[in-house]
Amino acid sequence: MRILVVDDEIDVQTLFEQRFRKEIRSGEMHFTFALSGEDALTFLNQLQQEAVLILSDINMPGMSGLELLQRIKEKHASPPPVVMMITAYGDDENYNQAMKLGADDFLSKPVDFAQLKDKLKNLTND
Amino acid sequence: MKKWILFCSLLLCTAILFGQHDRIDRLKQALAAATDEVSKVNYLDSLGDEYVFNDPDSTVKYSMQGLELARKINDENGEVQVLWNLAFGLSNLGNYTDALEYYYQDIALAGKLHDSSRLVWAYLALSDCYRNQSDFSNEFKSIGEARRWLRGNDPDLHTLYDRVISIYFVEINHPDSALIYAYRAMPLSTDWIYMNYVLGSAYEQLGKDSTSLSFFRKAITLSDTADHKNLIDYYNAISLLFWRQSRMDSAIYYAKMILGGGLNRYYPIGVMRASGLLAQIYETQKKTDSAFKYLKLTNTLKDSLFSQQKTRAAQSFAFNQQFREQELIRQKEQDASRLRWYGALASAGIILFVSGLLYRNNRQQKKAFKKLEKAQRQTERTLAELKKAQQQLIHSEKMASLGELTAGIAHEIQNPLNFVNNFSEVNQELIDELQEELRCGRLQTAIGISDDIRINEQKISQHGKRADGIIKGMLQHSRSGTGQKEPADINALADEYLRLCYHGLRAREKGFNVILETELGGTLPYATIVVQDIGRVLLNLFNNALYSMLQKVRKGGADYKPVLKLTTAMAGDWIEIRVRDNGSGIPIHVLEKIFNPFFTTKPAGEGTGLGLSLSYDIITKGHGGTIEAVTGEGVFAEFIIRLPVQP
Repeated sequence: MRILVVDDEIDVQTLFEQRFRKEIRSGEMHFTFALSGEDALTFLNQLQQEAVLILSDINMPGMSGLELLQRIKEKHASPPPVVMMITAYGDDENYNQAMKLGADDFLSKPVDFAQLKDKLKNLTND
Repeated sequence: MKKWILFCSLLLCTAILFGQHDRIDRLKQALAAATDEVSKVNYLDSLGDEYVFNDPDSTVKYSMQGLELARKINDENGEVQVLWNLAFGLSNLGNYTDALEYYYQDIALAGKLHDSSRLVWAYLALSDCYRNQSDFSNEFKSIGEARRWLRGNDPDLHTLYDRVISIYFVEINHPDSALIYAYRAMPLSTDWIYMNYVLGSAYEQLGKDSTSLSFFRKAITLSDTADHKNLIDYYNAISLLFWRQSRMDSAIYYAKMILGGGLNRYYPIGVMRASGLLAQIYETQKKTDSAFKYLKLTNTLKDSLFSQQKTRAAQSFAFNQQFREQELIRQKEQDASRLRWYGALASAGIILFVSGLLYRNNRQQKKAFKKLEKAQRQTERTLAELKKAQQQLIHSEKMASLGELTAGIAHEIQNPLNFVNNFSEVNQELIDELQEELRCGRLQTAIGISDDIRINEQKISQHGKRADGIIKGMLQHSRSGTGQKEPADINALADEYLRLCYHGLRAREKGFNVILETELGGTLPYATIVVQDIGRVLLNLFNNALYSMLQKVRKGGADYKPVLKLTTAMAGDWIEIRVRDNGSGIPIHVLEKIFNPFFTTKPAGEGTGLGLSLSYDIITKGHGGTIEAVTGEGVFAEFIIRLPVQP
C-alpha cells in the first residue's frame, strides 16, 4: 500500500518511519512524505505515483490541508484516493468542512497510531 | 436732594464728620421737642434717611409715621419726601409689592406738584426696584420716564441718570455704552465707589478680567461695611468672576461673605444669586450636603420672590392705571409743552422698542442657553453610557482573545505533544526490541536500535522545549502592560535594538549582510513608555524584517541587496516609528491576519505566532498608539507605529 503523508513538520517522517518500521520492513506499506500541499500535488502529478492513501495535516503554511483535499478530489477523480485528514484542531468546523470536501476520515493530534493501524488494516481488507 | 445723595453716597464719610448716632440722637430730641406738625414730618423724614442703608426696618417705621402725619395735616411737600423714603426702605427689605405701591403714589404726588426733579428721583429709584427683581423691561421703562423729566442743568440729577443708565447697560450686556455713562458719572457721582463696581462689570463683559477684578476689589475695599446692599452686589460680582476662572476657593469665599457675614437680611435677589452659585460649585465638587443646603436656600428665596411678584403684578396694574389718569390730567395742564412731549414720547417709544428687542434677544439667548445646557447634560449622559459600553466591549474582546488563545494553545501544544507522546511510545517498543536482540546476541542490530532510541530521545527533548517556549510566549502575552511607564528616548532605544537584533542574527547566519539605514528625527520628544515592552515590539519587527530578507536571499537572486530602514519622526502629536524591509513582503490575503494570535507564516517550530499579536497589544492597549503594516508583495513590508508623547 502506497501512503503519502503531507505535513509541514519534518519530524513526522521520522515518526511514521519508526511507528510503521515493521510494516515498511515487510514491504506491506510504502511511505512517501511531502512538506507542503504544493509539494504533494507536484509529487502526485509529476511522478504519476498512485497513492492509495493520503494523510494530510490541515494547518500548514501556504496551501492548507483542506485546499489540498479539494484539489485531489477534483483532479484525481478516478480512482479516488482515500484521504485522511489529521489536525490539532479537533473542532466541528474543520471536521464538517473536511467531510464536505470528501475526506474519508478525520483524525486529531496527538495521533493514536494503534487506531491508525487498525483503520489502515480495515482499508486493505475491504 | 439730600435723599439722593444718601441713596448713592458713602455713609462712612458723613459718619466720620458727624457720627451717625449723634445725628440720630439729635434728630430724636428735635422730634420730641418740635411743636409744629410740619417740622415733625421733616424730622421723621430725616430719621428715615439716616437708617436707609443699614436699617431699612427703622426707615420704614419713621417714614410710615411721617406719612400718616403729613396726610393728616395735608403737607404734600413733606408727603412726597417720606413716600420716597418709605418705598426705598421697603424695596431694600425685599418687599417690592409695597415698595412699588408707594413709588407710584410718590410719582403721582410729584406730578401733581409739577416737581420734575422729584419725578426723576422717583423714576430712577423705581428702576432700581425693578432691577432688584430682574424685571429689565420695567427697569428700562422707568429710566425712560426719568429721562423724560430730566431737564434743566442740575448736575446731580444728570450724574444720577448717567449712573442708572450705565448699570442698565451692564444688565443688558452692552459694556461699551455702560463704560461711556459710567466714566461720565464717576467723577461727579457721590457714590463713585459703586461706580467702580459698574466699571468692573463692564470690563468683565469685555473679557478684561484683571481690570475688572481690580475695580471690584476697589469697590469692596472702599465700601462701608454698613452698606449691605451694595456690598452684596460687589461680593456677587467678584465671586462670579472667580467662578468663571475656575478659582473655586475664592469664589466660595466671596459668596460666603454674603451668606455668612451678617449681610443676609435684605436684598433677597442678591442673596439668592450667591446661594445659587454656591449650590452650583458644591454640586460640581460633589459636596452633596452643602450643595443641597444652598439649593434649598435658593429655592426658598425664589419662591418668596415669585409669590411677591405675582402680587406685585396685580397691584402694579392698578397703580399704572392710577398713574395714567394722573398723567392725563397733567398732560392737559401742560399744553404748551405738548409738541416737545410728543418728541420725547416718540424717542421714548423708539427706546422702548429697541429695549424690547434687546430684552427679547436676551430672553431668547437665555432660552437657547437653557436648551444648550439640557443638550449638554444629555450628551454627558450619553457619553457616560458609551464609556460603559466601551468598557464592556473591551472586556468581551479580552474574553474573545482569550478564546482565540485557547484554540491557539490547543493547536500549538498538540503538535509538539504529538511527537513527545509518539516518540516515547516508539522508544518503549524499541527498548523491547533492543532487549530481544541483546538476548539473541545480535549486537550489531542492537546498536542500530539504540541509535534510533537516541535520535527519538533528542526529538522528545526538542519538542518538549518547543512546548515550553510556547507557554513562555503566552505568559509574556498575558503579562504585557504591567510594567512601569517612564520617559524614554525612542531614537536611542530603536537604534540599540536594531543593532542587537542584527548582530544576533549574524551570529547564526554567517555571510548574511544587510544594509542598515537609519533616519532618526533629531528633535523627537521623550515618550512615556514601558521600555521593555516597546523594546520587545521593536525586536519583533526587526526580527521579522531580517527573516523576510533572509528568505529572499535564500531563494536566490544575486542582485538582491537586503536593506532594513528605521525611521523616526513626529507626525502631528504622535511619535512615528517606521520599520521597512525590502524582503518578501506580505501577501494580501495574509495581511489582515498578521496581528492575530498564533498566526505565523514561518515553518512549524520557528515561530510561535505571538510576536505581532503581542506587539499589537503593547502598542494599542498598553500605550494608546497604533500599529499598521503596508506592503508590496515580493517587494517590501513596512510597519508603522504611532505613539502618543503622553499616553
